Amino acid sequence: MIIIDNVDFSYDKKNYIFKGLKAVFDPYKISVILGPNGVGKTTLLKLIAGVLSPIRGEIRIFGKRPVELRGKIGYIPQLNGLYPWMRVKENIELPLRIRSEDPSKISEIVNKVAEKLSIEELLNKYPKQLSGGEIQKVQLARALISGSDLFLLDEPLSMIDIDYREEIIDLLKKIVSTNKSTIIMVTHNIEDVLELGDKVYIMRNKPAEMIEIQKELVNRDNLQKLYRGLNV
Amino acid sequence: MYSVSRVSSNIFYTLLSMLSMIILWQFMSMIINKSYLPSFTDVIEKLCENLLSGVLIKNSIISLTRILVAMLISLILGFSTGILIIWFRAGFVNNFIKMIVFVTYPIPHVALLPILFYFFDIEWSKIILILIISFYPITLSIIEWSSRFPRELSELIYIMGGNKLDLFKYVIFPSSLPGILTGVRISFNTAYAVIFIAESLVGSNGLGYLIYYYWQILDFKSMYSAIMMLSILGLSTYLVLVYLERKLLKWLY
Repeated sequence: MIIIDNVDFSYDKKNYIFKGLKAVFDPYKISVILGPNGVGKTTLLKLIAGVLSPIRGEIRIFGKRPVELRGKIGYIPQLNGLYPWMRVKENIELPLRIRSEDPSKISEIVNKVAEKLSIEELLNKYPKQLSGGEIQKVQLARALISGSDLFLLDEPLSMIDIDYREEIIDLLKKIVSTNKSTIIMVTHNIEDVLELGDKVYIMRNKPAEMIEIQKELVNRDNLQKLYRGLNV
Repeated sequence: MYSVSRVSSNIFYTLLSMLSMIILWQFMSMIINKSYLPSFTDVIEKLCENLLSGVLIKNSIISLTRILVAMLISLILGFSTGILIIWFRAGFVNNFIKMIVFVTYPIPHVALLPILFYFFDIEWSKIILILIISFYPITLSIIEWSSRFPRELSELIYIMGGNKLDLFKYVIFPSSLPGILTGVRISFNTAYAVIFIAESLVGSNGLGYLIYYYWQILDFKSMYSAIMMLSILGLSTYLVLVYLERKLLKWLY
């Protein structure tokens, strides 16, 4: 269980993104947070990932603090998070290199993950040679290779074309069902919520508040209303 | 990727432009018909003669050594300064160093040469002048290049469990490498111009001195041969650096 307990956060200590933010995310599910751009979705993911720290309150991931889980969280940023100076293979194996994993094992693990995601032919390419969908698959491979139980995805479907969309959606569902993993994903696209959300949250206002939407209320009309700041 | 056809097309246009300049030179020298513009063929003859006598080789080595020593120190200083600025992304250290670099950058550094003569001996004052001039393109280029990459790339290293050493190894150094190479290329270009000024003002060796000396005794063919030698050194350095860029920065091309 991931618990956001009374978290305050501000970049400049004047304008608060979160003030007393509370949320609970269930394990082994895809939790989708819907909200407009600039509301604080990425900031929340960075707080959970431990690269930002709350001013007040705390975050617990399966009972642990985010910094204790460094190297054990799969994170996919909103922009292309691949290192342009590394080939795809080097990008994927980076978490293992950082962990000083045995080099002979690294290659084997990379090939296994690449095969699983059908990206073997991309391994020797540089990120600039990839399409949006291919970039997301490679980022997913890198997140998977770290053996994470928790994946934080920032708009993972935003820069991919229709052909890859279904494939990525299937992969994400498979990660949760077969790997017993937990996904927290943020998006501003209602379609993403409808296709992926086991649990749906709306993030709105400033400082941001988060409301969990009951399963029976999750439909296109209601989400549109909530997104615009109305109630259902 | 840098294709074979593009390389051969570049070679073709380089040779064509060089040939056009040589023809224009030869043609102009025939029209003007003055000693201060000897023909290209006469200059080449003199170049061979001065190369064989060893005078051009000896002075080229002297000038090149000064440039290389200056460039090496400047590379170390420029890289360290650039890295400090990147490392302390915001805050006092970043702003302080950045301001020193930006405030001192517009100073016409060649004008510092007379002052340098008081502080250092003749040899080192020339080297330090080149060092100062080379420092800025390297530092500024490193800062410019590394700011092109999103902050997320650094944050990801920490999320993957990395430390500051990993950040340096996997992000800061590779992201500043294009800046280092561009800075070094620009610096070398300037260094060849500055070495002429520094050597012609004071001292009794180096290609700059040689050009000045031949000009004083009105030996124009030798003067042109020394200028040509300096240009050959400049062009060779440029080609080596471009080759290195293509080799080390495959991800960019």
